[in-house]
Amino acid sequence: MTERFEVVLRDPEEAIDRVLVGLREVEASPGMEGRVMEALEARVVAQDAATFGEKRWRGAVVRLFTGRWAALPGMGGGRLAFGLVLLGLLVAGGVISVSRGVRRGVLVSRAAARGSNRLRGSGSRESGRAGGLGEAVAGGRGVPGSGEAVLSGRLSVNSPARKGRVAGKDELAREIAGAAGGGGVARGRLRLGDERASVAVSFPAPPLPLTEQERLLLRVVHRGDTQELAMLNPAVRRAREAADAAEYQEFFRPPEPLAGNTAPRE
Amino acid sequence: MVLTEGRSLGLFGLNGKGSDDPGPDQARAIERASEPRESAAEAIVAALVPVYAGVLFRVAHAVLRNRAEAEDVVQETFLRVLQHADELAAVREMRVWLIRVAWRLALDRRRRIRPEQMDRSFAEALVGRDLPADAAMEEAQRFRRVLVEIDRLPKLERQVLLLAAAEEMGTVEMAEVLGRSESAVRALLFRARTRLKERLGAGMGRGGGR
Repeated sequence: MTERFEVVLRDPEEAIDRVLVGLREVEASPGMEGRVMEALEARVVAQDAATFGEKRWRGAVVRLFTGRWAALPGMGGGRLAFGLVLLGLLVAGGVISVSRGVRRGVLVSRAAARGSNRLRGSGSRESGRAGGLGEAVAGGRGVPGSGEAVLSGRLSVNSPARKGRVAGKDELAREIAGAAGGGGVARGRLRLGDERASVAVSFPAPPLPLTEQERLLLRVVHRGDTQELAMLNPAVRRAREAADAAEYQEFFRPPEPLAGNTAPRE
Repeated sequence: MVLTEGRSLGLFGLNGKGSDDPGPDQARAIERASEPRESAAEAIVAALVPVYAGVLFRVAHAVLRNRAEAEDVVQETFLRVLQHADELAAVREMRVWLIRVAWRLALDRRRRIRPEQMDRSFAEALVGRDLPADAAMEEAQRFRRVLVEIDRLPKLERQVLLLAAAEEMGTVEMAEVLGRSESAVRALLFRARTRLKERLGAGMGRGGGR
C-alpha cells in the first residue's frame, strides 16, 4: 500500500486530472429538469397570485375613471346604474368637503374680525387708566396667562395705546392662524370644537383684574387732589399759610376813620 | 402560464433529451417563443430548461460541490430568465449568458455555505470501484486533498480552473463569462495548474495526503 501511495504522490498531475474530469462528468440527479420546471411553475403561480389582486384593483379603478363601465367585473351592461350611484356618492362627498372648507374659512374670518374689534375697544378703554399710573408701573410687568398685547395696552406707559392695539391685532392674528391650521402640528389637530372655542364670547380672554400692588398704587395716586399734592411742597405750603394768615388779620383790623370828621360829636 | 415539459416540447419540437448543443431547433424555438404574447417568457424557459439544465448543473456543482445546492442554482437561473424575458432578444450567446448567470449565482451561494456542507462523497465517487477498501479510502483521501488545494488557490485562478473543468469552454467563452481578456484567462489557467501541482507535489512528498 505504501508503494502504491508513493507512486501516486509522485504524479500529482494525474490526480488533478482525475478530479477535474470528475467535476466535468458529474451528472444531475434523474428528473432534475422536471423538478426545475415544477418549481418554476410554482413560483410563477405564487407571483401571479400575489399580484393578481393588485392588478385587478388597478384595472377596475382605471376602467371606472375612463368610463369603461361594461368592462368592470360584474358590470355587464345592465348595471350601469351602480356605477352612476357610485359616481354620485363621490361627487356628493366632494361637495360636502368643499362646503365644510368654505364654512371653516368664514368662521375663521369672523373670529378674526370679532377679536380685533374687542381688542380695539379694550385698548381704548384701558389707555386712559394706563396714562395715570405713573412711572412705577412703566414698561408693563408681565402678567401670567395674559398676552403681551393686552398688557401693553393696559399698563404700559411708554407705549401708546395705539401701539398696544396693533400688537394685539398681531397676537390675535397669530392665535387665529394657529387655531385654523397655520402651524404644521396645529393643522392636524384642528377640530370643530377648536373653531367654536375661537369664536366664543370669552375669546380672546378678558383683561385680568389688577393685582394688590396695582390697586395700592392707584389708591396712593388718586387719594388727594392737586391742591393736596401741592401742599406737600414746603414752599408752596408756607406761601399758602402766609396768605391765609394775612387774610385772617385783614378781617380783624379796625376800619380806617372817615376823612373830614376828626372830632367826635357830642 | 403552465410550464410543462410536454407542452414546451410539443410546441417547439425539441427532443427533450437535454442535449448540450442547441442546434437549429432550439434557435427556432426561441425565435417562435419570443413572439409578443402573454406566455412568451414561460415558453422560452420551457424550451431552455431541457437544453441547458445539465450544463448549468455542472457549472454550479463545480463551485458548490453540493448537488442540492447546484440544483437550486439551476432553478434560480431559469427564474432569472423569466424575470429578464424582455432582455433575451439582446442576448447573443444564450449558452454563455446562462452559464454566466449560473456562475454568478453559484459564487454568491458559495459565500453562504460552509465548507463542511460541501459534498464529501464526491471524492469517494471518483475512486475506482474495483479497488480494495483500504486502497479506495486512500485514493479518496488523495482526491480530497486535491479538492482542498483547489479551494486554497487564489480566487481568480480557482475560478478559471473550475470553469474550465466544469464545461469544456474555449478561452473566448471563459473570458466572456469571467469578464477577463483571453490572454488573462490563459495565464490564470496555466498558473492555477502549476501552483496546484507544486503544492500537491510538496504536500504529498512530505508523506501527506492528509
